[in-house]
Amino acid sequence: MLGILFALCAAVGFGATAFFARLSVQHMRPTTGVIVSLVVGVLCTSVFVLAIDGAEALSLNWTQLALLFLAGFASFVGGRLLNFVAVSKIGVARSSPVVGASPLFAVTLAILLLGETPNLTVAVGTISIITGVVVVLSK
Amino acid sequence: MTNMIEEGKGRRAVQGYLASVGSAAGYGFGTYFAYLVIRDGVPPMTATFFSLVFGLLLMALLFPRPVLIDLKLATLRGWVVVSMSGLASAFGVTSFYLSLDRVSVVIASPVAGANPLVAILMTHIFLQRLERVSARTVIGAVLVVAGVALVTIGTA
Repeated sequence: MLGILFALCAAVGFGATAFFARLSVQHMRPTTGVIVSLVVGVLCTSVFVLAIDGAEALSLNWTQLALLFLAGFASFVGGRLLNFVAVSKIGVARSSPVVGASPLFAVTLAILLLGETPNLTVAVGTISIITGVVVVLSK
Repeated sequence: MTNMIEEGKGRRAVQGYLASVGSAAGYGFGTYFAYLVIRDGVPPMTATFFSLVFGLLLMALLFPRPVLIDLKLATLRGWVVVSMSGLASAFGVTSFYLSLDRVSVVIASPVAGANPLVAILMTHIFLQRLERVSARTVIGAVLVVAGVALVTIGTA
């Protein structure tokens, strides 16, 4: 039960991120908004990393660091910055369902590059995501 | 400062939707790279921390001017709301990993994946003067959230 409660808290946290992004782009540029939100994010997660993972956090090899560099570039220079831009252009209500379709891209990459095989559940889910995005985009 | 976002206004709407799709792709690719590292045995929180640090360094290197300009122009309210966005994101990530400690990803991911519905609900309650939430948007969001849940369950 506590695990589901934490997952619900995560949904609220991620949803609130977009909500506050909408408010912030009224006062400053999306680039500034992303940088400030990243500063806060780094400060908060550093506390948990040091408390939970400790020394292990510092023992990454170069390949892992390179992959995390790519993850940082894709997620924040790509994902979060474009999310803030989208929110400033069309608002939270219309951008968040499209941005929420991101697992589709992760799964597609896993299928293409790691050779993972999609099953019927994934296929139905994919169709549902694409239909949802089309419904939001169509006028 | 910003008025009600005008629905379907040509170029601005197209830019917004393209940015949304680009954002989804960015988050999706980022998740994939992080997944490769986590699969290698690195704790998820550590992976998140380093990707945040790299993201911050890249953003600061690529876009220093806007921050310097906004440092002079932005109001205290602006700094507060953008900090709240960062705090909400950190709260979301931390809660998600705490959830993964207790329940399987098959349960945690679909529940956390309902975040677009939370964003839409908050917008409907608190931002009515800025945005309209249409039935079409809600239906689309429900379909996306249900699809994300199915994809998560199917790949777990």
